[in-house]
This record gives sequence, C-alpha cells and structure tokens, in this order.
Amino acid sequence: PAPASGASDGSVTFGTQWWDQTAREAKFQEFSEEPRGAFLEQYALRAWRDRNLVLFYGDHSLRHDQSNSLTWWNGAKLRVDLGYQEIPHNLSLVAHSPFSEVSPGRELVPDSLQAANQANPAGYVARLRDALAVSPRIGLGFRTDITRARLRARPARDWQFELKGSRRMRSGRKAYGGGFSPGSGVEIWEPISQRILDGEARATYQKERATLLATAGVSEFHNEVNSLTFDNPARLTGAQNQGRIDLYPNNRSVRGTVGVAYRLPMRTAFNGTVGVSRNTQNDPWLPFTVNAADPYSSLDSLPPERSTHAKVDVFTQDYRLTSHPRKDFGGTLMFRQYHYLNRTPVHVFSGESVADGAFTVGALETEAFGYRHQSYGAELNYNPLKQVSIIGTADRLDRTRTVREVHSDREEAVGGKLRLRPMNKVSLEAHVRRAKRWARNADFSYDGEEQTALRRFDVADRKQMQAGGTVTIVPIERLELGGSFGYLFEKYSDELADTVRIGLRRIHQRNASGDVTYHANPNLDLTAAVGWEQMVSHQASRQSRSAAFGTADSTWTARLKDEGWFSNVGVEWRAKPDLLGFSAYLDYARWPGTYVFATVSPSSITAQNPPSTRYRRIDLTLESDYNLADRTQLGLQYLWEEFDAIDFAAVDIPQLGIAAGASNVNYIYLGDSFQSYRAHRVALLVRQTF
Amino acid sequence: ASAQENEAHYVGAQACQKCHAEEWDAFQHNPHHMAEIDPKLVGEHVGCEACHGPGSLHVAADGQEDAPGFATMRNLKKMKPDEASAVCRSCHKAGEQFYWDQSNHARNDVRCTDCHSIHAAKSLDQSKLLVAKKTSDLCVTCHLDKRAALEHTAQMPLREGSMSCIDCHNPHGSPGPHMIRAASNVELCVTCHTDKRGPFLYEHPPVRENCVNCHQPHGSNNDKILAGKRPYLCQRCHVMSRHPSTLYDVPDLTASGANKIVNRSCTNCHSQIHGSNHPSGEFFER
Repeated sequence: PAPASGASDGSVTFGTQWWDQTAREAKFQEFSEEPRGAFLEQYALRAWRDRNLVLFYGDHSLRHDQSNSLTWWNGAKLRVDLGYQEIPHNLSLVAHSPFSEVSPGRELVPDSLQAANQANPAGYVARLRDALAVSPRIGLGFRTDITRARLRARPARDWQFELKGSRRMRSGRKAYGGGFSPGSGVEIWEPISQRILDGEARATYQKERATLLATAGVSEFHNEVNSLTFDNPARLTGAQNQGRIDLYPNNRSVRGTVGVAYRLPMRTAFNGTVGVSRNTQNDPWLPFTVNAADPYSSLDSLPPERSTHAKVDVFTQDYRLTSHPRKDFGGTLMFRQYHYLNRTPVHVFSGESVADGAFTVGALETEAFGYRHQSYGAELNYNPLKQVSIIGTADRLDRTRTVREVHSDREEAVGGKLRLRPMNKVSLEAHVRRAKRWARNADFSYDGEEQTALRRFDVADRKQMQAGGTVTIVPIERLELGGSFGYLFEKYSDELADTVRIGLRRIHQRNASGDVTYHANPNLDLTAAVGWEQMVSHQASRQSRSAAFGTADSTWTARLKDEGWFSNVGVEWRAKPDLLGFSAYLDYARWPGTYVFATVSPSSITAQNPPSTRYRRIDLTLESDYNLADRTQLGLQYLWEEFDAIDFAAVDIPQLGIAAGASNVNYIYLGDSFQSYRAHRVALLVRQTF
Repeated sequence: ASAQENEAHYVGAQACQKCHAEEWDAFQHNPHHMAEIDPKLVGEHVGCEACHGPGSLHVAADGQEDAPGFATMRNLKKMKPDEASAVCRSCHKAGEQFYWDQSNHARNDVRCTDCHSIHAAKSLDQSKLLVAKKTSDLCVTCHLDKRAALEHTAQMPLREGSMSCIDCHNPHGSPGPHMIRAASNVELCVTCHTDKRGPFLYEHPPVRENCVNCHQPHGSNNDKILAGKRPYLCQRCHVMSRHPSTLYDVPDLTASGANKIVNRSCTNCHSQIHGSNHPSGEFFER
C-alpha cells in the first residue's frame, strides 16, 4: 500500500486526587510519588507522515516517578529513541539524628556534646536524649534520573548499526552504619551523589547463512562524595573520636564482544560469542585513620603507591550448536566460560586502624581475588508424538578461584522435562534436575581465623534437587485454569546434629500457585489467583564468645522459615458497553517468618527463639469509567492499602541502643523503623483522545 | 512451504484490505508499516504477504472457507513454534534477536507471537507491540512462580512499572545464563549498581563471584532483598572467633549485642560489605 498520509492521534489522561495515610511510612510511596491535587497521568501521541512515524509516550509526567519516551522511525532506515525516567526510592520519613551534615560527607555533633560525654560518661544517655528531642527529621531515600538515547540505522539490507547511551544521576541519602570499637557505633547516612555514564556501539552484518555481531562499550561510575566522616558522640579527643569510611570509588569498564550466528545444513545453527572487558579503579587511598592525633592519619604512613591500581580483565566465551536433523528429534550443545582475571597488584600495609581505633602493627597483605566459571551442557529433544515432547539435559560446571578455601569445584547435573498436550484444551509440563557439587581442591584450615568445621555454602559440597511443573486447562472456551508448583532442595550436610560440618546445611524451597480466568460474557471478566511459597533453611554455628575456637558442645543450630501467601481477585464489568464500566481488584499478600534455635549442649548457651516476623499488605482498587462524550472519558478511582509489619529487627527500634542496666549507649540508630499504616486515595481522571 | 502455497503468487497488500480492513488499518499505523516504505532494506515482499505468504489463491477463494485456496495463507498461531518464529526472523536477526535460535524460549517452543501481536497490540507503549499492557504482566503468565516472588515486601520497582523483567533479561536470548543481559549475574547487577563494581582493595569473594549468594533479585521477605535474615545470613559463612559465631537470640534484643541483631545487623558496622578501598578496610567497616 501507499505510505499513509500525514495524520496523528493520541490521548491524554489527567486528573486530581486526594490521599491520606495513618502513619508517615515511606513504603506507601516507596517507588512512586503520589501527588495531592492535579496531575498528569499519561499521554500518548502518534503522528505519521510520508516516511516518518513518531510515538511520544509518557507516564506520570512532571512527577518524580515519571517516564517519557520519544521514538521516531524514518522508514526502515532509521530509528531514534529518546527517554527520560525518574525512579524514586523512598526509604523513610521518620528518621532522626543528633548529627548535622556540615558538608556532603561530613556528619558531626556539637563539640560540646562530645566533650561533655568524654568528661562525664554517666550523663551520656540523658544528653543524647536531649539532643534527639530537638533534632529534625531526616528524609531517607534517593532518586535515579535516567536519560537514554539510542540510534538504530539500517543503511543497507545487510547492515544494521546501533549507538546507545545513558546517563544515570543518583542523588539522595540512605542509612549507613559507622562502627567504632567492637559493639558500638552510630548510624549516619550516606550522601548519594553519583553519576553513571554508559555508551555502546553495535554493528550487525547479515549475509546469506551468516550473521556477524560486534559491540564495543564503556561504562563509568563517578561518586561526587569520596568519603563519609562522622563524629563519635562519646569522645572529642583520642582514638575513635571520629570515623571515616571510604565511599564507593570511581570506576570504569571498557568492553567489547564479537559474535557469529551461522545456519548450517540439516536445520542446524551455530552461535558463538567472545567478549573481553577491563574494569579499572584507581581512587586515591585515605590514610589509615581520621584521628588527627595519630601519626597514621598522615598519607605518609601509607605505602608509596597511594592507590589500588585495580585492574580486572574479564574474558567470556559462549558457544551453542542447535540441530534438528529430524522433525521429531533435535538437540543443543553448549559451552560457556566466564573468566574474572584480577590483575590488581598485591599491596602490603604495615598494619591497620580497625574502625579508626589504635593502629595495629603487623604486615597486612591484600589478595587479588579472581575466578573462572566454565560450563558444558547438552540437551536432547524427542517428540515421539505431536502431543509429547521429552527433553533430557546434562551439564557440568567447573569453577576455579585464586584465593579461597576451595580452589576448585565441579558440579554435574542431569535433568529431564516432559511436555504433554493430550488434547487441545490441556497442556502439562513437568521438569526435574538433579545436581551434585564437590570440592576438588580444598583447604579448610582458614589460616587459623575460622573454625575448621565450617563449610561455606557457596563453595561447599552440595546435592541439589529441583522439580517443577505447570498445567493449563481450558475446559470451555470462556474458562482458563492454570496451576504451577516448584521445589528446590539443597543439602550441604547429612545430619542436623553433625558436629563435623557447620555452616548452611539444608535449604528447602517450595511454591505452588493456581489461577482462573472466566470470560462470563463479552462485558464481564473474572480473574482470581492464589499462590504460596516457603523457604526453610537449616544452619549450624559454633559459639566462641570466650574461647578462641569453640568446641563441639557449643554448636547451635537454627531453622529459619520464610513463607508467603498471596491472592488476588479481579472483576471487570462493562455495565453499559461503550458507556459505563466498573472494575475491582483485591490483592492480599502475607509473608511470615519464624526462627527456631537449638543447641547441642543447652547448658552452655541459651537458645530462645526470637519472635516471629510478619509482613502483610492488602490493596483494594475500585475503578469506574464513564464515556462522557465520543472522545472524553471520566474515571473515578479509589484505593485502600493496608500494610502491617511485625519484625523484631525493623520495627520499633529504639534510637538509642542501651544495654539493659547500663548507663552507656552502644549504638545510635536513625530510627527509620517500619510502621504499619492504612492509606486511602481517591482520584478523578479525565481521558481525552484526539 | 506447502505445495499449494508454492503455487500461489504475490498480489500485494491492497487485496487484503477489502476483507481485513481492521487489521489493514492497524498495520498502517504501527512500526511494521515502516518496512513497507523501504522494501530494498527489508525484503522483496512487504506488507501482509511478507509474513502471511503469497495471497493469490486465498484472494481467489473470495472468502469461501471451503474453497481449496482459502487456507493457503500462513497463520502464525497455527504453525509450529520454530516455523512461526522463522517468519519473524527473516527480518529480525540482528540486535536484540541475535541469540534467538539458541535461547531458552526458542528451545522451549515459545514463539514470537506468544508475546507480540502485530495487529492488536495491547501495550500502551506501542513500540514493542506486546499482547499485554505491561511487560512484567506478560512474563508472569508463564513464569507463575515469579508472580508470588514479585509480591514480596522487599522487591524492585516492578509493580510500579519503573522496571520490568526485560531490564535484566532479554527474552530473545543472550550469551549469559538465564537469558540475562550480561555474561554473569555480577556483571548484570553492576550495570545499575555500578558503585559495587570495584575492583576493590579488599574484596568479599562471595560478593564478587555471585550477587545471588546473598540476594534474591525477584523479591524477598528481608531488607535489601536478602536471601535470609541478618545476622543468620552472614552466619552461614562466618563462625570466626568472637562475635560472628554468637547465637543472637532473645536476650540480645535488649542486651549489649542488640546492634548485632536489630536494624541492619552485621552491616550496622560492616557497611562496606560489597568491598572496601580503604587501607584499614579489611573487615569492611571502612
């Protein structure tokens, strides 16, 4: 057909809303901004003329959770995408602190408070309470502003080029821990002011059976705030009168890949990709300590290199050969390698000031951690009948590391999958996979620092069993039923009371879900879903409060269970087709957690289970729309949201951590506890199409 | 192509308009129409017949469903998945779709039209032509276990729409595991969490080797989408002498050890747990 003549269409949705909540809990707007009053909800504009098509689309524009995109096509030759997005992450609205941010990265308390506390520790608690009573709220949260651009060009049939780039600006503050001597510290906030630039060029060439791909890219991270210095309210002078954390250093990554896809005879295809990248980081070191009275606060006390000169080369390879020589039989062979080659020089320090305390003399050598993962896989498919697919898999993963207690390990796995479509209205899928991992070159002596019975789960011997399945049934045209289940079992140690192995011992994960969709008639749709999941882990540790290394009878075990239930129900009803519609959605999610402890020898350690935790969220959304005129639609929305949190670690945390019966404060918290709330929102919307 | 299809010849898209006016009209306003403008760049045949095959016999049937030529048009929804996707792949071989043939989706009989609709896309942002309004809603229709995961109290902004599954996964395939948009989990995560990329003076090896050792990216009951509650998560690996091995239970909620169990637990002090560039940062406190 002839190119469409010039024209445009689109829509704009705007409105006004009121909302309120019972507690100032940021979670209601964790990743969004709920305006009060007028707002622009959405717009979409589509315009085309001759060779050009333009799409202009935006959500929540002019708000701090907005997303806007502009796409322009010029025939098949050119496509340009521009985008701007803001993603808020609101963390807390109720934090307080006696600290003041005198400049980005310097958070201090009045010298007078430090001096008084150092001179008269007995009044420490009262003075901090007084300071907190007059301290302002500190909003915790940050926002990421993302600007994106992409140009795709197809100058000739065989060639396609793509240039893309993005800039992420992240700003705000989030809670950060600053420790002093073991057992004490302060919670301050990390001032976030970061810039991330990313650019990539990509070229693809296609000719007959072959497609070639080449990419090159660079990514840069720049942190405007290099360090975080904070006062110790307990003391004005001497060691640990202040602390200083080296915030994340600037870094850069340069990368490139080359790939080939080739179609061979007999319905066979090969795909291979080789990549290389270099990550570098060379931020100047901070001195060992911030304490000006300490000679190790001088840069001169550092080794002469004064920065890490960190350099890592990453080599990747991925090759896959897929073949279907017969319609009922096929398979895939796969090989993948990821090699993280750390070329950072080893640095030797004369000691360290742990948590800005007194300098501990003793040669301290850094380690350049590197690793290589190499996997091999095979997959065979057989379709004995049109309605039956049988898939068998076998794979192996070899991992090696330069610095760890397990220098190399291997995991082997076999699996199978069955897909059945016994009739048009029913489909079933089930899969199972069994794997075993074992250390091939291990040294669990831990240089005398860890208990030798410990097996770290990510490198420990492990047996794993995975299974899952789905079923879909369409008994009648208007009704769809679906169900799924999943199971994962990981076993690291054979017995719960095994005193030879400590660490993570077992993990059980199970999940199941079901859903139903009923299209009662063209104007009424009903949906419902329910899901459940559970993760149970068993672990063991060996307490050694007073002794350098604990004995077997100080072993304790924990059974931790995270569980979750969710359900939702939805109704969409066109009461008067083309005039009036209603919809209602109810979401319910409940996530309990339990913690059960036991000890091998109850007399040596207490084991009292912490209280169970529970998070619960209920959302009810009611919507109605009314076609006021041919192109004008009115909408009315009501949202009710309830959030309850019960968590010993995150709810009602006292701002001053005071040991029972003690007159001292061992930790000062920001007080950004979760709070249960109920929220209501009413919105009136107008949608105008043109 | 079937024998009948081989006998047919191309008649041009105008012939389709008479009976398929709605689809024809929708096609004029969607990005696929751009291919019709530059046939030299795309293929000899463009428009409806580029995907549905030569239409002369179908047109000659003049709407008679029992006429022999009526069913000679390709119906992608009725074709075998690999054959249906091959139709799309005749143009979409580059860029995002480069790895399709070996992708998990292709190997599991997912076809392009399971997610995309050329004639009746529902996605509000029309550039992707999806069969659902939101990308993530589409993914969980098959990945049912992830629907529960995304309902967790700690999660990424998928429900709000600021992120979607395809920010991390390329549904068309990738050279990385689980069709992620990077060669490894760590490389994927640090594309956004670039501050954690390092390399650092002091590395925390399990962090450097795999972020999912500690985090559950699809959602969790625990702060920072952690795989377990601190300090017990940390104590799966750390039973060193002194405090890392202590059983933190009820007495510690009020005793001097409270800061080991409440709030951010171990990271109340070991805040640089992803790595430190400080000469005194061996224990990730600085």
